[in-house]
Amino acid sequence: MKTKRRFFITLSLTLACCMPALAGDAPDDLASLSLEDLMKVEVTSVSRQRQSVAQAPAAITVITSEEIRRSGLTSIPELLRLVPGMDVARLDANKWVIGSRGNFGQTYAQDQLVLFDGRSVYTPFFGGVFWETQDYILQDLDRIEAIRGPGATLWGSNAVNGVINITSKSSRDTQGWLLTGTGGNIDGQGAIRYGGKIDDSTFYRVYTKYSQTPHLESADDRWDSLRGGFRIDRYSTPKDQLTLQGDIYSVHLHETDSFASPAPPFLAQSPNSLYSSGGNILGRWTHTFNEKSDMALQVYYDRMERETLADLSMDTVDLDFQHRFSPAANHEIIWGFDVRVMSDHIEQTSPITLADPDRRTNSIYSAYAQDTWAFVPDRWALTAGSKVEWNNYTHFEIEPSVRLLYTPNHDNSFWGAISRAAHVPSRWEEDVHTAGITERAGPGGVPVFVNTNGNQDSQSEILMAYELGWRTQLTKSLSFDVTGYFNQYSHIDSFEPGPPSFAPTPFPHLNLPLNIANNIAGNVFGLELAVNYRVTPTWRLNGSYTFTEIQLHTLGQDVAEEHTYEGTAPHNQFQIHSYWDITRDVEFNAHLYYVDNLTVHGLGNGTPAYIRTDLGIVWRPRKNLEIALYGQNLLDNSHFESSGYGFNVSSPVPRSVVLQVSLTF
Amino acid sequence: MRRAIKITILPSTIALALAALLAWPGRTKADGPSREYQVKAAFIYNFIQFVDWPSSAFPDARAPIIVGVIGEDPFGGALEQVMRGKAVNGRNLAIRRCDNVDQVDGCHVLFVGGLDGEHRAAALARAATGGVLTVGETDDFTRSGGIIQFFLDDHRIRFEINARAAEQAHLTISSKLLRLARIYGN
Repeated sequence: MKTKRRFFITLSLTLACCMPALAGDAPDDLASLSLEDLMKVEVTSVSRQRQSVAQAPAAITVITSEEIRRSGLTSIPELLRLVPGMDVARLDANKWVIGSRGNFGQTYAQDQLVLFDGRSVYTPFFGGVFWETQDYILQDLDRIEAIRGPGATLWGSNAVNGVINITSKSSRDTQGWLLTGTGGNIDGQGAIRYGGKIDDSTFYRVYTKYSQTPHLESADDRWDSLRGGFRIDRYSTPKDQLTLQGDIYSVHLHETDSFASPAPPFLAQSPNSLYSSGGNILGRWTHTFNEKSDMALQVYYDRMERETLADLSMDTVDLDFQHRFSPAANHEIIWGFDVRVMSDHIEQTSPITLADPDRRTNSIYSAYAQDTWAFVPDRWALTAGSKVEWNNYTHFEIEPSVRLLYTPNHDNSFWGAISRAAHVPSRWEEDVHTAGITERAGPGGVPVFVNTNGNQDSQSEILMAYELGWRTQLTKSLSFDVTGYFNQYSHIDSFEPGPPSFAPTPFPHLNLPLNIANNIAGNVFGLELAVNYRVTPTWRLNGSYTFTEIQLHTLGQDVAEEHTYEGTAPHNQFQIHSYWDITRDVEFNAHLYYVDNLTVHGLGNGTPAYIRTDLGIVWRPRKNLEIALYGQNLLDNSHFESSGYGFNVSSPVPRSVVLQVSLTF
Repeated sequence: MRRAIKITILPSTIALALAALLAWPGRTKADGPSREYQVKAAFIYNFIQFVDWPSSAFPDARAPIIVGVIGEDPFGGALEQVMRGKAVNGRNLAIRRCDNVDQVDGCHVLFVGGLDGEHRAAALARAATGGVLTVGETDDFTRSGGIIQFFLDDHRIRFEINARAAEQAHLTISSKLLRLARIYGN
């Protein structure tokens, strides 16, 4: 097993970089590699960005551009279905709840941090991601890296249950024209990209993409989005890369909401239309000093606006620096700092939502350092470090972790980790008040309208996580990866009832205040198994199984939420993916996803288990032309993946057919 | 209170960063052959398999293929480790450290280490006359008439080929090697 899998896949974690282990291949082994393989060998490891998956002491999955292409999926949130252990629940045409290891909170997966090309797309308005505004030409994505479990030591607050990094290709690798169109019964997309060069070392691309989804099935949830952007990469020296990139977007979407109503049955559905637009610009400089040392400096500006039940806008400026070096033999230190300033405005446009204050400028200052010490070179490595962070709401947060990696041979690695992570309160948890957002049946049939109140003394939700993992290459073609974890949470959001008040108009009803507090605590544990099997040189299978168990209890009066939260993640999930190259120009791809039932999810009473089956055939009649036909969700007419969230009424996901045509020249 | 913390943290963070920025360059030196040069040595071994030399480049049918290094040698023994005991087309591989330009004669591959412009031009000129596959890693290596230039791309090693320079040196480079390369002048 000298040619241990050459997965020098890039990776967004610096956890344990263990260069000694990485450099463990003797030059003799290298000589037996082909040129193609040599070109894949990574020779430096940029902190937080590069690491061999096989050597990382964390639960990491990389979805490659090849897997993205062969999934047949047509949007970024849908692509995350490919990640083992990721729970992707599509609420309606334009909303998703996506997280791993349990999704707490009243809104979308507030413990899952998501970055696109190093820019955070996690919104501090409510904690979560506006997935409908995250899109790209999928062919120009390089990879999606998903870390399950806390990544707060490097990534900071809200990297509690996981971190997702979506990375686009360098413009050097997207030269020329790409025309691509997708059509089917639930969506249509068209995109154009052109990549060119300014001089021998400077490359660029520009793109635009339009997509439209009529509506899924029952609710009015149609949406369309138009976006465009550019990326310039300059390789001024072999050791320096400068990147400048930016995007703008405009998204119209519809949703069906359910609010309290003064007339029986006191709950009414109403269609709403929302408009969101924004843009960002990002510059990054990476410099390599030598194999063991490099640095990256990144600055970005992001603006988003959203017209919904209130008009939201936010400007974010972020400066991030990181440096990796080796101060002594067998030690590698990564350190860095980050400054982020976010200025927002929440303007009241309906009686339902009010923010007090309506404007806030919040800042996060953070710094981190982490050392990886290969105390027995090529065998044992210990990684320890912490992030120290300051934010306006909870002031200091300390997010340390300790990780141990044992690599007895080329084909096995064992790791364990203990980490602490924090979810910092969002604007919604601090300052937002809602009126009549839902209704409960009261005594004597009197309707009770529920009002929620943000809490300016909200505490951070704290996680202490204990993880154990084992990766093994059983044979040259079969590998597996297993992770078990035990998570202890405290200060999870609860809704504490206050004294109800009677209101005679416009209809006799009670108003019940629910005040946000942090009185829920408990444990989550689970097991994640992933298998990769290359059956023949032209047929590859991979699969995964995930078990999740959430056990919470309340320390306050709120007895509803703990059960709600316990039902937010499926107990069992599994996936099987088959990639078969029938001939050089024809591929057959098959995907099966099983998601267990959800007992309680937001508004409704849960959703039954479902199996989703996607089959696709890809044909390349010419080198520069690809035609793909996919049947998705073939086994049932439609299924719900969520029974609603907050006041959003969900829509079932129907069977669909997708035709994709891509031309490059 | 909040404001006070904000003000004090920012300058101190920047000061810390600046201090480190000033302190770090050149702090680390790799021990033994570095990963980068182990991989580059393996690349050179591969190049040899995809290049045909004119028969006049060898004194006889059993003569070894000589890999020379001129200028600073960054390999730290990696070339020997990779090529020890290996043969290509029935020819053994030998490594020669060239202390001056005269020793370039007889080499089949020449790695040009960090030389200043004048010495490098002299080495390339000497190599050009004798069917030598020149390999370098400075930015302008192919532009200056070198045949293969390594460059880093996304932390991986790639190479650029100056096909015209190879032709002038009477070397035949296989299409496979050319396909994997970035071609100078394109």
